Amino acid sequence: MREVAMAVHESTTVQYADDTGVPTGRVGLWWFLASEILIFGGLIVSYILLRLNHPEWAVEASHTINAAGALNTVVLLTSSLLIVLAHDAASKQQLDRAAKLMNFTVLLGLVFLGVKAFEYTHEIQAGFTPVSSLFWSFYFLMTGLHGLHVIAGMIAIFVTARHVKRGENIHRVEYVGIYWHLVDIVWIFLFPLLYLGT
Amino acid sequence: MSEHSHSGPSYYLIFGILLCALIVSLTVGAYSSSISAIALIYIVATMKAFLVLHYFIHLRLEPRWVKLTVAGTVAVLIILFIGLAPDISFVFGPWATVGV
Repeated sequence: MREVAMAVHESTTVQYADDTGVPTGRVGLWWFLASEILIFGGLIVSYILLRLNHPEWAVEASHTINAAGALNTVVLLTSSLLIVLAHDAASKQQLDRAAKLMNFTVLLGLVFLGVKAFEYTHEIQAGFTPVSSLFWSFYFLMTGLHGLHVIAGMIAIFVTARHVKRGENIHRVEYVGIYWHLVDIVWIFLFPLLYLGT
Repeated sequence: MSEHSHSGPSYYLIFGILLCALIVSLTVGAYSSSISAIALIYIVATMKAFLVLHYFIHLRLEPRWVKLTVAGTVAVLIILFIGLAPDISFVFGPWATVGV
């Protein structure tokens, strides 16, 4: 069963350029993701430690908009489903469907950024800026950095979708998908840290 | 990968579980701010991250070195947490007055 699953997993027309049997692109991607985990992980670890020693941050965290954070979580989870379905379609050579699903993923990325822009506007108008306190510094730094990753992911998925529609670089669907899932995982941790448990 | 051809449950089922987990987090967060409630929220978040890693990223199908790379970064973060905890507690936390 596992062998069958492995064979399907490797069926996305990837290029094997070394003796390890692992596509070179995927090797680079995983090392890149490891560095990303350390960047976000370092911020999250620092935030948790400071939060444990600053119970008063709960009051500041109560000013974040839970409904907007929850909506963005649903948006990112849905986009993760779409991109994994795009990978599925690409592996079956259903290129139009794959490109369409990827474009919908980009659209959901735009929705995410729109909700985030609404939140930032509301918070800044209420007087909460990156220099208001250490909590808000962390809030804007972590969500801002995450937002930049969302933008980068959207550009990568959009470009890859155009290639896939022309039948080129189909294996990259998996790579941009893995990156997008990482963006989703980061948000899965940011949401409870910054919005819930106040 | 198709939800029929890969060895795990369907992507839609995983998506449904992720949404249910989100509802659990929101409900717990809305009605309680106790330590146990916050712990439950983070446990649910970790479970959600595991599901995405396992079934959407297909980490289970990657070679061992990839899994070790991910585990290694998590280990570094745990070391960072343990290493920084005393320092931050001495500056900001309950031990801040020790030695003053």
